[in-house]
Formats: sequence, C-alpha cells, structure tokens
Amino acid sequence: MTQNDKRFDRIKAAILICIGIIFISPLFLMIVSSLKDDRLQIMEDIGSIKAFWVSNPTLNNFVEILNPSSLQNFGMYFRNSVIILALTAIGTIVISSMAGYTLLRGRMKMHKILLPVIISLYIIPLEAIMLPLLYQSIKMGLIDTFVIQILPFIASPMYIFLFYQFMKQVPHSIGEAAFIEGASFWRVYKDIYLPINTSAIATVAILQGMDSWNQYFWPLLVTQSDRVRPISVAIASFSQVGTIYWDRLMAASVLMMLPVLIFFLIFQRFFIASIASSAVKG
Amino acid sequence: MTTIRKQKIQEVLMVSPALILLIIFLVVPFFVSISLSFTNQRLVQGPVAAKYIAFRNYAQILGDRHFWQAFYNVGRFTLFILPLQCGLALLFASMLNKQQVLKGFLRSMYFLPFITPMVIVTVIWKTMYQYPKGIFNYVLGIISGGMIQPVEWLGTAATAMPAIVILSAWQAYGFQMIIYLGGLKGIPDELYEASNIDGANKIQQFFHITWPGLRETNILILIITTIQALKLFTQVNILTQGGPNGSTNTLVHYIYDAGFVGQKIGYSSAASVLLFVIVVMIFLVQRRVVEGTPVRKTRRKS
Amino acid sequence: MVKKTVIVMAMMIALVSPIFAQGGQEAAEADTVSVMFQGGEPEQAAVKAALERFQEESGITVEALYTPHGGYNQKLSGYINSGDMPDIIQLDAPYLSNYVWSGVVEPIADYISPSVIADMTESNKTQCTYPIDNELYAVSHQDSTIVLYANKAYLERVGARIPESPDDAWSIDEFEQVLSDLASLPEVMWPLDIMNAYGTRTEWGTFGFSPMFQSAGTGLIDRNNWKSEGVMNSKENITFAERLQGWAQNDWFVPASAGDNQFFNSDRAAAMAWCGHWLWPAAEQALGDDLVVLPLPDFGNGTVSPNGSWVWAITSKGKNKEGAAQLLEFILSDMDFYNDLKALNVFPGTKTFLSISDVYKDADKMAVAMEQAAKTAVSRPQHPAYPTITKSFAQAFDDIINGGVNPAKVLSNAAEEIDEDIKDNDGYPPFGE
Repeated sequence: MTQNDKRFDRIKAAILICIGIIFISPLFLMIVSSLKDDRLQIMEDIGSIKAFWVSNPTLNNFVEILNPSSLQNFGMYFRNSVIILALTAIGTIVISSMAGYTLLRGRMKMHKILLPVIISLYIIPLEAIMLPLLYQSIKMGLIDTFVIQILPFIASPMYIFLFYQFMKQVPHSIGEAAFIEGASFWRVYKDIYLPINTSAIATVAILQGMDSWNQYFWPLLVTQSDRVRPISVAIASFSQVGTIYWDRLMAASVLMMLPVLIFFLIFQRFFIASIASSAVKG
Repeated sequence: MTTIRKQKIQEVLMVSPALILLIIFLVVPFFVSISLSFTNQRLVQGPVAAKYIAFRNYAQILGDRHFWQAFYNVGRFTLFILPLQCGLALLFASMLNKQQVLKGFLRSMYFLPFITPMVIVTVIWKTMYQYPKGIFNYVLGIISGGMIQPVEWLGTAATAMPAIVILSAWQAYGFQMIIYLGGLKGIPDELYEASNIDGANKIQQFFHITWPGLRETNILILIITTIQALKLFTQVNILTQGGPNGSTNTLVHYIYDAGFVGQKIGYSSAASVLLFVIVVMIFLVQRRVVEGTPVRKTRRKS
Repeated sequence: MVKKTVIVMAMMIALVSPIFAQGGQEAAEADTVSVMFQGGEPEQAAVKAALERFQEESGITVEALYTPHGGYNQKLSGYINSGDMPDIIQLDAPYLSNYVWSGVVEPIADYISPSVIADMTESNKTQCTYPIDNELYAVSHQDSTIVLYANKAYLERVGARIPESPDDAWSIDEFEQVLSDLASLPEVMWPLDIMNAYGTRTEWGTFGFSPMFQSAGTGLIDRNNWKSEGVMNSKENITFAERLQGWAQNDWFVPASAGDNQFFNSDRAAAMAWCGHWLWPAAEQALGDDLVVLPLPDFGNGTVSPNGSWVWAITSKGKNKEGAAQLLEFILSDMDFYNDLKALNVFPGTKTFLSISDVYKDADKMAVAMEQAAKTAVSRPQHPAYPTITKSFAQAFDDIINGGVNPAKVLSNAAEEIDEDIKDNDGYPPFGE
C-alpha cells in the first residue's frame, strides 16, 4: 500500500464514520430516551435536536420495568424470551444435526427419498400455515405455553439441510474408520461428526437465536397471559394501546437490544459469517 | 442383534424426532389449511357446526378489493425497497470493500441496524415519524427553511407505505451489504487493474466490471427481497394495522385479520393457500429466470 | 471459539433453570383462583392490589394473569379447548353474548350474593345480562361513558353556547359551526381530538363512534331481526357519514400520529376532545378552570352515548367456582379498591362506588357525564356476532375518517360482511328464531 493509498483510506474511514453515525442515530435516540424520566418530555424532545440529548439522565425507567411487582414485569418477559431462545436453539441443534447426519450417512434406502422431500418442505412459508397451526394448537390445548412457542421451530428443513451440507465436508473415511473399529452409528455422530462441526453449530445457534429472539407473529397469536409472553410481544403491545409510556417503552427496548448487542460484539465475525452463509445455503 | 439391525434402529431413532415435528407442525397444518379452506370453520368451534362450502371462500377472497389491495401493496413494497435497500447496501459494500483502516469496527457499525429486532426498530421509528413534531418533520423543516409543512408520515395513504419501506430498508440493508461484500470479493482484481491501464474511470469500471460481476448476487438478493416482502407483517401490524385506507395492508396481515381478528379460520386458510400458491409461482418464475439465462462472463474491456 | 460456545451454552442453561422450578409451584389447586384480566395501567395496578388483599384475607391463593389489551378478545376464545382455563376472566361487555353463546361462561347469579348484585347500577346489570335467557353472566364494578371535553377559553372566543345537560346538547349544525369557528382560531391546529391515536380500527372505533350513527341515523344493525343490510347503510347513516367525512377532510380531527395529548399538552393545539371518562384527571390537571365537560351533541334523534366496560365472569371450565365467586364478591365490595379507582376517575358501576365518587356528583366536574349516562346510554349490539359487527363497523369508520373512501360503499360492505357472518352461523340460534 502506498503512502497515498493509506491517506485515502484514512479519509474514507472518517467519512464512513460520519455517515455511520447518522445511520445508527436511531439507536442513540433509543438509549438517550430511555434515560429520560417523563413520557411527555420524550414526545416534546423528539421534534428537535434535543431528541439526542438528555440533561439529567436517570435509570428510573429501568428500575420501574424490572420491578417484579410492577404490572408489566419486563424482567419476566426477558426471562421468558431467554427460555424460549435457549430451548429452541438447543433443540434445533440436536434434532436437526441428528437428522442431517442420518440423511447423509444412513444406510437405509428411505433417506434417499426423505432428503428431497424435506428440502422441498422449505418452500412452505411459515406465515402461510400459522393461522391453521393456531387452530390446530387450540385443538391440542397448547395455547399459552412455552411448548407451543418452541416445538414448531426446532425441526426446520433449512437447518437440517445446513447440517447435511456442513457434514458432507467431513471426509467419509474418518467415519468409516471408526465404524470398522466397532463404533456404532450413533457414536460416530456424537464423537466425530458433531464435535467437528462447531462452526455449523455456532451458525445455527446464531441464526436460530436471532430468529427466536425477534419472533413476533407466532407468539402474538399463541400467548395470552404474561407468564409465557416474550419480550417482543410485550414491547409491541406496550406501544400500541392508548396512552404510550415512551419512557418505559424505550427502556424495555434497550433491555431487549442489550443481549443481542453483547453477543454481537463478542462473536462479531461469527455473526457476519453465519448470516452470509444463511443467504447462500438457505 | 446384528450390527446392521442395530444401526437401522439408531437411524430411525435419530431421524424420527425431526420427521415427527415436521409432520405435526408443517405438513399437517398445510393439509389442514387446505381442508379448512373449503369450510366456514370458525377459529373456536361454537354451537353451530362448520359446513362444507366448496369454493365460496376463494370466490369471496378473489372478489374482495382488500385482498387485491394487499397483493398490490406487496408488489409496491418490493418495487420501492429494492432500489433503496440494494443501493444503500451496494454503496456501503463498495466503500467498505477495500477499506483497511478500522475495517472491523466500520463493518460492525454498518451492520448494527440488521441485528436490531424489528419490534424495536418500529418503536424507535414510530417516534421519529411523529406528527407534527418528529425528527423527520424537524429535518424537513430545517432543509426547506420552514417551506414544507409537516408531513403525517404514517397517517396518510400516500406516505405510509414509503415510511414503512424506509424503516424496513434501514433495518435490512446490512444483510444485503454482507452479501454484496462477498460478491465484490469474487470479482478478480486483475479486471480492475487491466481497465485502469486502459484508462477507464470509476464509473465506467462500475458499469462494465462491478455490476456485471454481481449478477448472481443480484439474483440472490432479488429472491430474498421478494420473499421478505411477501412475509411483511411485524412493521405493519405494530405501526398501521394495514391502514390508512388499506394502503399498508399486506397478504400476511390480511390472513391475520381474517383468521385471528375476525376468527374465520376457514376463510383465512383459503387466503393462506393462495399465499402459498403465489410463493410457489414466484419461486418457479425465478428458477426459470436463473436457469434460463446463462451467467454472462465479465468481459475485459477492449 | 469452542470454548466460547460452551460458555454461552452454559449461560443459557443456567438461565433456563427457572422453567423447571416454576413447574412445581402450580401443583396446589384446590385453594387457588386464577384470574385473567387486562387493560392499561394504572387501573389494573389497582385490580392487582385488590387481588392481593383478597389473598391475604381469605387465604385463597390468587393466580393473577395480567394481559395487555392487544388481541385480548380474540385470544380468550382460544382458551375454550385448553384444559388451563382460568377460573375468572375479565371480558369486554359487548363480547359477552359471544362468550355465552360459545359456552365459555356460566350464569353467575347462583354464586354471588343478591346484595352484591343489587348494588350494581341498572346499566351495569344490563351489560352483564344475556338477552336470550335474561340471566346474569357477569358482574362488574365499573361502567363507562364518553363526553365532549372542551377548552372554555377557545369556546368563549368563538362565542359558542355551552350546554349543561344532554337535554340542551348542541345540534349537529351547531356542532359543525363550532368546529368551523374553532378551526379559524390561530392557536387551534385541530378543533377536535377524537383519539385517533387509540386506533380507530380497534374497539375504540365502535365504542367511540357507533353512538354517532345511533343518534344521527339507524345504528349498526336491526336489533329485532338482526339484519344489517339497510340499517348500517341506511340513507340517514350515509348522509351523516358523508358529513363526518367532510369534517375529517377539513383536517378538523387530530391525526393518529400526533398522539393522544394534543388537547391537554402545553400547545393546546386541539380545542376539544371526544373521549371517555378516563381523560378527566389529566385534562383537569392541565387545563384547570379552562376545562369544561359537555354532553355529546344531538346528531338528530337525540344525544346517544355509549356504555359498557370490562366485566368479570366465571368460566364454565374453571375448577374453583366457589372461590371465584368469593373473590368477585370481595372486590365488588372492597372500599380500598373503590378508593384506588376513584383516584383514577373510573366510572362507577355500583351504588356503593357512586356514593364515594364526588367528581361524578359535582356539577362543575363530571356530573353531566352521569346524567348523560342515565338518560342517553345505548349499549352496543348484544349478539354473538358482535366480533364481526365491531370489526366491520370499525373498519368502515376508519375508511370514512382516514381513508376518504366513499361512505355509501364502505357502509354497504360492512353490512354485507355482518349479514354474511350471521348467515354462515345459521343465524346464531337461538338468536333470530
């Protein structure tokens, strides 16, 4: 790189930072507003540059939304979302990787038919079956539970295929060698294929985790009481009805954003790589 | 027990959880929706039994102006968001592509909106779109020197959909940007170097090397954006509920309105089946386009 | 990388553990009453406090299932097939007929002591009654109404007459004149806030504005033969809707995105507010002596005001009906509860509650609301098709006000949708028989 190129690069970085700040200013707005104590003040400030400035910051809003005895207990909604996310991600990883592996290395003839069938299921958009599925869930008595917010998502054609493709890159000979030494089909999966594919696991964990955390349509349909309501639905309903408490709403939004941000900062490269692979493989 | 038999049992055990779940939560609902679509079933069964009504639901939907409006809106959303989102994504991707200083920081910064949950995006943008005092109207007032009256972004039929497009593009351009970055990496440097020697300027390079080189990436993005538009729901549900005057109604919101708000699951299922048919048709058309036209090799400018 | 993944997984599992702990708590059943309630704060905080007092006094454990507004009515019906039906549900009174017809709730008179029922006001009892068998299926502590809040300073500047009772309410022409005069004041950006911000396609649309059509025309549906065609889209309704649309097109109403505070924030940009009784404390605090409460205008057939609120019902699948009844009796006679609600200006639904609600007895405050409710209240149609009736009307109203669509067309569409739904359900027997 020449001296000139370096200078150009630095100037470009400065320009990019300036544009970038404008682009992420809505996020500043959220954080700043969450530190203001009065919903009317927020509405007043939003019409001027004061929207990005808070003169006497307070954490009151956070204290209020996290107070377990308050009516809208965001601590609990947050916990609900974490439970749903964790079980969905773990379930997806276990079930989809087992299926992907079996379809790849299984000896039974049916797998040859199953694979294209499962892939073709990918074309059914979840949005197009959600209302019939709601009807079905009501019949099954699963409304307003964690189970119904988790189970429909953990067997996904996309992730089964993703594991299938990742595992395809593992040389067949490794598994065969273990097999000849007497390892069972299950052991080869558990001891070789699964541990070797950490990047597939991380990809699925990140993609499915983001999906689950952002899930809105389905929990909107199937949750009623607040003991199972995820934070996304709680925030949305908080922002729709009559008087909107912008102060606490902004604090709740920060609360929902926080874990995403932390995970993103730690696993930056993985996030970006996973998302890129979801476009290509999905 | 023979090893082969043992393995077969293991295979069945390992693949069946996924199969069972797929059947219960994907295949069955799919067929349920088809069979419900020919009845007047309500979401919750009342004392009156549901009846087989043949194609009446379909006839009603196809005769409903709101359905066609929703269909039209999805198309409008796609047309609006494609140039905006892809333009932003490509602009930032090409600026970030060869960037060395602060590479990781800048990429993360521009990627940040994409990891923001849509629910939060709508909450923040709802305040920014506020009328008459909101950040957009404030900026509009400053730029025009008070000449332009405040706009009621989400409350006017003409501006509500563009407003939703802008916030959706803001949320999603980061994703496209990552795909473009991958696409740009795939264009060999030699092509640019050669054209430099030939004396081509940056704009010529873009139209003769970069754009043709991104052909496959563009097709991928077209597919993803169309599907994203067809599934549009969260923003609309939180911000406008399809209004004003149906100008932001979408197919998924139409299904939701009929089945959940109106409790007519038969009718809603028929609309779901239509959505499925539309998705399959778009998928087939796109496959034809992708397979039908051979990927043009990027030519060295002579 | 592997290490990080393991750490993250461990963190997740640690966070998940409460789910298993939680399972155990739900074992006790006999002495538990589960209550599902809804609504905005801080009203429901008062309910929660009352439930806690009941728990303390009776020794019965209360499982309080709080749910925000959005989609409440739709989701509630999803519970019918679930084994987990709460013992008590709070429901929006106009939906009661639908729930009774679907078998979700039970007659309540056998469980609740007559003195508690006798304490309820007539309008309150009516909203809790199923018209087919004239049985009481719910009880409630509250009712509701809508009044016209106005900024007196503005009214005086345009020389508007200030009516004091529904008997001398503004006529439609007078109302239109006032709106037009107010619009010409430089400080007034909008003459009237109809609370578009609440969402006109929600229950607010029907609650807030079906009375207009009752007063100006023929209402939403014929309440004898349950046909909407020719009623919803009667000549009178269409004429009125066209006039209403004209007002909206003059920009006389505060738009949704301007929020719900234009009447009482520091700008005072809206001169009047068409809003429920709940607005009073905020408006009073902000406007002080400038606040004046007016009866709703007479659009032709005399003033009509809405009524009906959230009521308590015992579910037919509930496990602890005696406990549920005990709880309802408690909250309907809990003075602490009434005092909390009084501070929020909740509209009294019982005589006991009314006796302490000074605001509703003061001629300078909300007495006109009480008088109006007694003289002019018309309930929303008590029919199992109500979910469709309200959805169709609210949609039509929204199209008229915000969409600028031809009123005759949208009202006919709404009528058609309603009649279609009733036909689909064979007329909802025994209705229409």
